[in-house]
Amino acid sequence: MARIEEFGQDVPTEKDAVKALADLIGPQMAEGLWGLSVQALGLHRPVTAPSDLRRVAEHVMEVGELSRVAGRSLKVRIITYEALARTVQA
Amino acid sequence: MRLPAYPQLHDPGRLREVARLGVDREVERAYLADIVDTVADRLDAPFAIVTGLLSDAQVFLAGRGPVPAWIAEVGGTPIEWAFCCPLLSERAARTVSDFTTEPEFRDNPLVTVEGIRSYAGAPLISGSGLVLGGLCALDVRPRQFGTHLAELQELADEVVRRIEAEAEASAA
Repeated sequence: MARIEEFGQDVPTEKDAVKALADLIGPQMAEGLWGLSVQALGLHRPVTAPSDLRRVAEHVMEVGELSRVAGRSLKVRIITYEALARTVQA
Repeated sequence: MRLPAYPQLHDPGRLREVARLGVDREVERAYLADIVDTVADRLDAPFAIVTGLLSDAQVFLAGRGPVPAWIAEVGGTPIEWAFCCPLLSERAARTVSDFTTEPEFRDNPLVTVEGIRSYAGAPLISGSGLVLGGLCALDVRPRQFGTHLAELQELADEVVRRIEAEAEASAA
């Protein structure tokens, strides 16, 4: 069975997620949008669990066109990590 | 994830077009099924996929073939695994006869772990001239796809026509 290291996917982090968002909508907007989404979901920063990061990404997707694309990208990356963590050897 | 070779990935104009046409949306696209079937049959390939290139991930809009369950569950992959990225700059159909000899892709987990070896892909270019993704055929054996590129591009153009028609109908 393949090992998760062979897929080169690190544990997703909030820092990476906000950075990816900032690449599209700017750092201030990204920080604000992320913070509001975390708050709206009743979570606290830093968000660490991949399942919570996915919920925030889904929330971000509801705000606008660029954030929807960025959020979907984040979601794919987070679910990839979750799926790999479940199905291949750690 | 920034791929320096493909600055087009983060071009806001391209991403707005991706969003306007709903390429990023998680929806069933039955209207593309016959096209992936045609690609798989004509090119005698086990996999045929319509892929959308977002900023940091690719998403699968339609596909045929025995995709591993975990990839099907995700509905896409991280962008650094996307074989269609070169279409962003080349803007023309291309083939790779053996990924294990290609520096850009030989360490890609879809090659090293999942065993994909060869590729033929054509860009999905919107009416505004922006590359949305690709229509591709994949095989697990090294092979040449050369004689089918014109046909593949015609089918890719048809994919775009259908995506644009669907987006227009949804907006109406």
